[in-house]
Amino acid sequence: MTAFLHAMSIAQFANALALASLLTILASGLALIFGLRDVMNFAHGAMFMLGAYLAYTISGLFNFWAALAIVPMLLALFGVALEYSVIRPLQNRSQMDVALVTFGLALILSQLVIKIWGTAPLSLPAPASLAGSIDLFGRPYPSYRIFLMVVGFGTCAALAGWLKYTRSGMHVRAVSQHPAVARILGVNTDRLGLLIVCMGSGLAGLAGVLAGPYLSVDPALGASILINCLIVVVIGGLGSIGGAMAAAVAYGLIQVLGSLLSPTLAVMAPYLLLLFVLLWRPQGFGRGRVG
Amino acid sequence: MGALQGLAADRRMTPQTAKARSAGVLKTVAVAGALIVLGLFAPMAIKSPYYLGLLINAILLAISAVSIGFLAQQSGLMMFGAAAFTGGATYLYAIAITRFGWGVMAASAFALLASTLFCVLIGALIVRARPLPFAMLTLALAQMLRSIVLITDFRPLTGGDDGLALSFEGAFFGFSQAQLSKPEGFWPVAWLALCGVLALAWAVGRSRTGKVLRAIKANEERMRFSGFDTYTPRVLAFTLAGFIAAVSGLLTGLYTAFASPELLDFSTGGNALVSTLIGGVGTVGGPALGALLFVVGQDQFGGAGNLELLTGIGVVLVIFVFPNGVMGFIRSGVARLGAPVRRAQHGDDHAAR
Amino acid sequence: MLRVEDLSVTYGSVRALDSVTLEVRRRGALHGIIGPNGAGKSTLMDAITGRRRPTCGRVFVNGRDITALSVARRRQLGMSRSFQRTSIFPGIRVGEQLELVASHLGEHDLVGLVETLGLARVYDEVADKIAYGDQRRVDIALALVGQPSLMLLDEPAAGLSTAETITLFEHLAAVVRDRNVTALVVEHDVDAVFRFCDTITALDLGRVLADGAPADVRKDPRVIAAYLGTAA
Repeated sequence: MTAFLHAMSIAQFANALALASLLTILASGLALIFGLRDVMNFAHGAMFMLGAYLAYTISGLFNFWAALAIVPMLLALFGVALEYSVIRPLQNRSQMDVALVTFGLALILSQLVIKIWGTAPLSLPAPASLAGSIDLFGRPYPSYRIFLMVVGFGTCAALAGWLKYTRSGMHVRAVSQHPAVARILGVNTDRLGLLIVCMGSGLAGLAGVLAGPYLSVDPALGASILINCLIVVVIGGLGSIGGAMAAAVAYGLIQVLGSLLSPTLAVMAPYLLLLFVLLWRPQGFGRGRVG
Repeated sequence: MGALQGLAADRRMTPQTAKARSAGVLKTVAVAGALIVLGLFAPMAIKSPYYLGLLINAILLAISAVSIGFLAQQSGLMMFGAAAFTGGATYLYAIAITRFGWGVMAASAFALLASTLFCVLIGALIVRARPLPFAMLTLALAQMLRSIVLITDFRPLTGGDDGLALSFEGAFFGFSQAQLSKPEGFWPVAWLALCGVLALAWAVGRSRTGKVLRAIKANEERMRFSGFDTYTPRVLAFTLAGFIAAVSGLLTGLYTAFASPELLDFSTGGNALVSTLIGGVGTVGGPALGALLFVVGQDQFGGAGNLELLTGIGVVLVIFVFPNGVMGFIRSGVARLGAPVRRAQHGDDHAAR
Repeated sequence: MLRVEDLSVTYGSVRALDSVTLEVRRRGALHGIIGPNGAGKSTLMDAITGRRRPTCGRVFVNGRDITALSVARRRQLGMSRSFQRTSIFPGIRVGEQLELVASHLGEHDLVGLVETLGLARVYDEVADKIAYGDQRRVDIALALVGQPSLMLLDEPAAGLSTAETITLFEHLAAVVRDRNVTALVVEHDVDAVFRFCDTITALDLGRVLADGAPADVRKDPRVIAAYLGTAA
């Protein structure tokens, strides 16, 4: 009995981490774009969903690994389009105007997805090498989810390292904390902005590919993941990568543990947390801007 | 005559000026009343149930757009998740009829009152948020309600992803369900509701509360330093906007006799939002005009799938091309035409002094 | 009238205000507050008006402890302020915003106030479309509406030329006299302050250096050392 409980909580804990790893990738991308460009990208969830659908098609044409390589790049290209057609032209408009446009984009993307792939949920199977299960503390656990966690957290670790130790990473942190000063000191904020938007979009695409075999690929994916993502980014502190990561893990745990206790609580807990954070600590729990 | 002279003159208001003023107001009321009554006879002019149905859809959308526009104009807050308040009211109505077994009048009253109370509570919490967090919170609220409705444990109450079909006996202000489900029958209800909502938004906008709200929007800190309570008026504005949205939701329930999770989707709120933007937030009627254009556009470009596509494209276009919406565009055009006339007048004033 | 007791404001490790005590007893008087940059003048203003919570100390108006009261409440009780960075209502006509505040606080001579401050010309204009000098005076007018008994003006002449500053102070002196208001004015233009103010407080590094009649403050060696240099 106790062994069953023990095993169940290990598996559930692992599920929480799997979900969290997806959210960290997404939240980091969103946090980067907001921290640097002051743009709240309401289309982030839809871009993630687009990534998942593209992965389905490419996976069908070639294989999963091809999708893993290609889709983030496709989404990065989308990011270029986003930067040049939306973010730069609207640079001098208010935060809300840009947010509205990204919201409109989210709606467009959702419909595009339905038009091309239809409304029925699609299933994207895990690649053969990861389709089995491995032994996790005596119980079988899907190896794909382990892979997911490794890639997810690994990507974030790489991102954090890039921000901390490379020159461009340092520029990103500088611009997000003191944009005017950084510009005076010669940092090319436009080029940096393009880089960040591409990275954020590419990360959304990566998360989409990874999510394919894990979640069900359907048109409602964008909306639900967007809210989760917004909650994580806000709780973690708008713009803080480290905060987003910590918040994503906490979020994953709350979701999974909450569903054990009471489904209602699991559903409502994130929103209540969002409300609390936005009202009492608008800067979230993380440490300031990108960093 | 400049406003300062007017201010001084006010203290010397003569019976003639007072009479002239009330005559002007009476005229406006008479004209408005005539238009409202005229509108009731629209089904006689528009024989096709299809086009009448289209107009009704436009009205349902218009009312939620008016709600969004009202809040944006008075408080500078954008309700991304208006679906929470419209869809919420529809569900409250549907649940009251199917699960509580109430009559249609009681269920309607319940839907409106409960929604309004809900808005007071939510508003008390979120009205102080900055515009972007506010938008996110309303979106999260809509998504939360959608998730709650879909919880399997709640299926007996909410109908889950199948939604709630309802039917009632008895009458809603004399209308039976059969009558309400047809465009010709529902038209008076929809039309009067739209007029009522527009009148309400207009009256509050012109009232002192409206002026206080817009001043708070312009400079909240200075309002506090001028001795004003800046919190209560904003909660009031939010509650009113939520009430108007609830009216739209209730009407949807009365007309379609169905509550579904789609009512709480992003795109439902998005449709109302884009209608507001198209029509412009500067006027009370702008969002309603935007809703009409939107529904007509949807009809022309055909298909439900294209609707949401249109929504998204609409939002993007409007922000880029018409920052003040169609109404704002029209108004600034009219203002430009009227400018030479006004300047001449002003010049006369200066000469007279 | 106004009494400030041991007022201190600390930001982290910086003591912006250090045990400031001052008293203004006269009504219908103009009391200047001078000091070099970083002296804590604006912080003093913020602490007295409630914009910033003091770390310790108390503020009394007409003998009443108002330290815990909200900004809006202080205004209703008759303490108003104007702002260093012009804080008016953009997008709204000058007349409309003045009338709104006037009707809320009870003002019996708005026309007179508008004319005294020279705002009749811009009464119908939208507030953010008028000249900077006019905007400054709208900012002050908003503080004057409603018969406040105590007015705090934070650098009312900021951004104005010498001539405009003199005009502004002449308007202020007239208004203070006519309405029997006590006005505290933070100002950088030392000449204007010495010329128009009845009493002066000099601050530096969050502390009071000198307090009293202009002639006395001018002669005070600490003030000269900290602020006036050889110009006195």
